[in-house]
Amino acid sequence: MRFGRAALAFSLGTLGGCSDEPSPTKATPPPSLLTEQIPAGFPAGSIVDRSPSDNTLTEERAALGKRLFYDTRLSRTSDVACATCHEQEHAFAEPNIVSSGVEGRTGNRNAPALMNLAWNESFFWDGRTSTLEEQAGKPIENPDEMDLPIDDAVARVAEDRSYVAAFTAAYGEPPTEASLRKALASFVRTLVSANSAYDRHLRGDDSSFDDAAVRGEFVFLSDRGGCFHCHPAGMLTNEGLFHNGTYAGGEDTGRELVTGRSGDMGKFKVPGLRNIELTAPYMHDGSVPTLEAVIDQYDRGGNGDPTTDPQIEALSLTAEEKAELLAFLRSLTDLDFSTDPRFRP
Amino acid sequence: MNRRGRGWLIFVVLSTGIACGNSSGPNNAPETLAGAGGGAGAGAGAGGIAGTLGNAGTAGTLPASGAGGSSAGAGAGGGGTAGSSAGVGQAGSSGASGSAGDGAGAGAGGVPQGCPIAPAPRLSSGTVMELPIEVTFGGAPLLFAEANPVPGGGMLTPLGVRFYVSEVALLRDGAEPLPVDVVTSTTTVAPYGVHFFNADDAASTTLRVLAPAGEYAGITFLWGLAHACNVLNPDGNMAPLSATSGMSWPHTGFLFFRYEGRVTFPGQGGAGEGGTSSAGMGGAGAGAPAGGAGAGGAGVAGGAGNPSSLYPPVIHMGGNLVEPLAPSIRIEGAFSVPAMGPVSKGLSVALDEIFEGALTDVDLTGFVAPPGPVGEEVLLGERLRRSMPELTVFAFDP
Repeated sequence: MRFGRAALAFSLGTLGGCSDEPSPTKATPPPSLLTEQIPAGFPAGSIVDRSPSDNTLTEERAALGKRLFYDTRLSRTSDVACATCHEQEHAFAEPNIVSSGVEGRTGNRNAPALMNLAWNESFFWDGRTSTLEEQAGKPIENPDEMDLPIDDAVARVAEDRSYVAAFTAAYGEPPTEASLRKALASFVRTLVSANSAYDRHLRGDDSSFDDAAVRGEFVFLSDRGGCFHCHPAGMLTNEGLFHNGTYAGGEDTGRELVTGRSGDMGKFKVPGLRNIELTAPYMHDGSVPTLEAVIDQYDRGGNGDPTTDPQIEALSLTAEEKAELLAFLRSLTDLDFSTDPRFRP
Repeated sequence: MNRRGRGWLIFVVLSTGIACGNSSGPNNAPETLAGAGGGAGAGAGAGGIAGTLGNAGTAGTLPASGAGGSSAGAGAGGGGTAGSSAGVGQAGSSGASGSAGDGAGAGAGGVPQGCPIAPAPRLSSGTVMELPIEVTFGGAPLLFAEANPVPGGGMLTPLGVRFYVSEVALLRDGAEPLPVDVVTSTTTVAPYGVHFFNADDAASTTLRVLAPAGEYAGITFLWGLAHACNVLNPDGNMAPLSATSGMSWPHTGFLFFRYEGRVTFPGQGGAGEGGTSSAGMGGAGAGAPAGGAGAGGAGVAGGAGNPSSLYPPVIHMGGNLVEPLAPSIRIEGAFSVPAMGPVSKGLSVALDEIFEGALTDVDLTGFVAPPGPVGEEVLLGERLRRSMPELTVFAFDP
């Protein structure tokens, strides 16, 4: 909860200091959150291109969304922000097995990392929403997370004149549920991570992509490891929903809870793997503590659940191959992203 | 660096003479599921990698079981390599069925020169003809992600059924096939001119083409991608040729078709073993060509007494960067397209035929596989591809 406290402190500080803020004409403009960059290996379109026509990405909208992202007032108890469970130093995931919401309530899933979501087509571990705008309001209302009816969140924001001004500048009207969602989505859309050693390797610079990573990439992208079936090169996710051998019984049956189909039991969304080194623990339930343990789980073909996807089979990797895979996974770390001051409150 | 620019070596699987399996028993046991199995396939359910590849194992044709034996030269009248069968399917004897050959584009307007994301429309106007696609199994609609009964008391649960359709042309009596545009639900030309079927996405299960009013004798299309599209790098592509389709391979273009599923039978279902039909699958292998004889394919090895072996858990059929390989499908059956108004013609896809093709003993000579160990699913897919001339995977609804 340390980030929650920091976010709360920031929020209070902001509230107390709004009238003292320097006028926009005198202030140095903040660094732009927008970029036209299309990272190597990513699908077509920049984050601006990929924003929906009714929420075209602008600087004002992204900046407003960032402020909301770090604002604890969006929780019933005013001490949990989006950023509480999505910490930048962990690639906007968190080191807890599952997240803690208001009053210490815990859910049953590990907070997913937030990055490169402008190029994603479904969200949440069970893929239940298809737009970031739709996704954005759900944690606010979730009783185990922020537990605040979205209308109440809008009302709280509307009481703050600086927010009203920011919403009006961004969306031409005072805060509404729709614009609240859109603003949050706009900020999340700006979270682009594409400067890991692997990214530079994709751009033709192998200076930091060492031999072990090269060999690990081969294991990853061949049927030796078979990782590419779900984590194709580039984005390192096909956004599919698969039972990867983690689920081994229990109430959280993943995609089945969305579709009601028995064949979807244990299916969860394939995450992208950038910054995977920073996002431990792993899997939808945070049940795997380390990357080494992740590799071991796949090496043994999962946890033995009979509904595991048939593509998950024991691999019998050698110790050397495991080390190479680990080197490749570590080459995905982008510290420029996890320390980028533009994404801080 | 573009990963395709890294100089991955393309090699021919059979030429390497992979022979690390242990198929040895002369144990064809047709017409029964209780054949005494050889050892082939043991461990395949746990591996599916190089060490599980069998050596020239074969099970002949369905419903055989067991493994071993030889199948040298068994070509099943199959496709051979691209161009050898000109891509024009043979008319089905029933007039409502089709078969396939190899060779992209033939009979469907020729191989395109490129694969633009927004192809120029082939026709300026027409009627949107809808072809709802239904996968069937055992003669009944396949319930996706649900349990479907199989003979013997088992249940099959499909987890993934995806494929591309492209280069659609309408058959006309006394005239060349008429290439038509694949269009979206908003009637614009589909990106890359390609339709992507995903059984998990109801919006994708209807193929739409823009057809001029008239009388037609059938339809042809590629089950997969034309070569110009197949060699596109998915990086930077839009759907459906991006990696999110789940159809991209690291080094060899796109998958044309992919299937994943589970089969369980009473008495099976031990955790991680009989719970999926991967148990008992094995022996996907390749004998080194000897004296020019066709290399033996492989089939259901080690499936002795295991009916699951008739239902491969994973089949991935794809092409490569060298030659056009998407099977050309031809379905005969008369239909009319009015000048206005809705027109619909249902298409069925027989999963039974797909299983049969994947398990057919065919010569895999010349198969260009991805670098590294070759998964069984790839070999099953290649058998399916080469068996297409003998199968009736696609048909018009009655």
